[in-house]
Amino acid sequence: MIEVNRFMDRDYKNHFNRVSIPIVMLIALVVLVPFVVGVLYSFTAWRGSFFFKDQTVYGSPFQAFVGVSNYVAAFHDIQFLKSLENTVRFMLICCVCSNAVALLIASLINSLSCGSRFFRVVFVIPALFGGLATGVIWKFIFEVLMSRVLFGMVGVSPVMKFTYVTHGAMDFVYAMAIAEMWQMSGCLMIVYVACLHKIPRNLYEAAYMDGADKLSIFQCVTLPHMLPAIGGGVFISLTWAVRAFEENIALIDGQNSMRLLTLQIIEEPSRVLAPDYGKLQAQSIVFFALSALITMVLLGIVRRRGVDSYDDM
Amino acid sequence: MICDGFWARFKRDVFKHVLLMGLACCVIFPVALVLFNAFRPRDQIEASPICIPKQWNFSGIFAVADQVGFWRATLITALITTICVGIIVLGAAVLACAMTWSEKNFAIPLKALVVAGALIPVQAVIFPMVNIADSFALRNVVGLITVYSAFATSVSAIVYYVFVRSFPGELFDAALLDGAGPIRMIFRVVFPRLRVVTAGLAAINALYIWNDFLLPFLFLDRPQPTTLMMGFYDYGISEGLPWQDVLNQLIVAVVPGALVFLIAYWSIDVAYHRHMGGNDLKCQYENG
Repeated sequence: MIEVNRFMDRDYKNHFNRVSIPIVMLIALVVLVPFVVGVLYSFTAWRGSFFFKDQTVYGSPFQAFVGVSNYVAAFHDIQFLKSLENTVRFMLICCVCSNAVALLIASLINSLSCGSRFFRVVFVIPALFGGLATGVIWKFIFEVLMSRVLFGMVGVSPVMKFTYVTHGAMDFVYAMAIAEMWQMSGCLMIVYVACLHKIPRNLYEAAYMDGADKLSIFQCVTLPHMLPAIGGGVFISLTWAVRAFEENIALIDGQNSMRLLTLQIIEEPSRVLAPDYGKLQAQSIVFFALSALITMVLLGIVRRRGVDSYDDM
Repeated sequence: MICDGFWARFKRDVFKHVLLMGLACCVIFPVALVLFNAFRPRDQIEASPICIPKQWNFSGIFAVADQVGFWRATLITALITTICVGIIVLGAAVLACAMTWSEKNFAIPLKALVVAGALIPVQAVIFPMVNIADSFALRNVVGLITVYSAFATSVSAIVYYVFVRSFPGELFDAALLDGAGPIRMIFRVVFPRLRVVTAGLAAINALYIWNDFLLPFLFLDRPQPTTLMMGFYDYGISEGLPWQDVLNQLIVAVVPGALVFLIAYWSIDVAYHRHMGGNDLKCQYENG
């Protein structure tokens, strides 16, 4: 009897703590430590393997502290500002368009009675290619199909605006957004289909019997249940678009005004012989602030307005 | 209007089927374009890219596969992917259990750590991370596996946590009475109930790691060892190749992964929708 009581006393709280220590150390060492070091170095005059302040070389970061001048220099850099603007525009276009398309397709698929699995598989196929492959596929379409065959001078119907979209900075963001949307809508569609599937049918029956038309049904029955999923979808699309890198590499021809942020951060060291890593790290921290800001704002919105679906279960 | 027969439903659904078929064609059109044009002789690509090719020329693929080092790159990519996915699934399950069942002093810093690991993108820590990896001589496949595991485990842990926290506590009481340690609890109690979630997470993470280019670009030296996407970048994009070769390399780089993940996604889809209940209770209202 005494042994049984001893077992029951030790409940399973803290039962998993010891086992989780290796994983915790892995995450802390690989993600947190470089991040903290990076934040620290962004306030110093870092040059990669040494620190360079006032014409002298230092070995330790604490002697080469320069305050916020790295951030000031980053925001005076024209290429960085241009890539920042490109990225923000790209993010917004991608998010709005891909979520709208994914919602439309998901609601269509959900209301089918047969053949929904076929369509689910077909629309997810673009998401199976990597970023580089997607970029090359759409580069082929933009350069060969649209520029020469369809819309070019000798094409079916010459519209100069649609030709060589990967060479002009104004249309380039839209071209990249199309390529990214092609990939993203598939993933978002899966999330929306799963969420739409969970809405109980008796709510629709009740709304129909109360005489609601389709728009009211969508607004009062579907939308409150979908708000967490829509928040999640917006979050996924924004974070994915902020980190877009591989389509960018594949689609541009080395033109500097069409880079997105990640490419800008990565290509920058190849410009000068002794790159200013302090400024680059400041740019990286700005990138993190941008993506973290979106996340926090969205999570705050979603948490306040979503329907908790656990109470119907 | 309640629960019509098959043909009544079919007539109502025809418009939706037509619309969805049109959209599906738009979505598959680029893929079909690449497939047709990769096997077309060189001069015809620019002349008529949309038509179905009259002669199918498959010799380009084998030449390209040799050039890229296809088998070796696939092997390395598969190795990295499987090891990473194994670490991610186990680690995320452990983290989720630790997040759910520990007292506040441990749970709150743990949750903060996991959220921070999920929020910090790879691009924000590139330079310090590569520096540190250099100083530990980890700028190779081992370092790549470590980095993938760390970044992906946090996100997966959050997904698992959402599911794990709705488990009934009596299961764990019973397991504890039977003398189960934490590892045995995870394998006997938690994982069997999370099969579909695990399959979905494994597929998503494997897809991400297989198709990723940024981290191998930073961590691996060229030319060997190299992953599939890196090989594609080196030989397919960097130089100004004619479209014939580029498209062949695209197919070589993409087809293995795409086929495997298509099959994986289809089977997970089948399992998930069987798990969630089929269409038999679904009355055929048109829901917006």
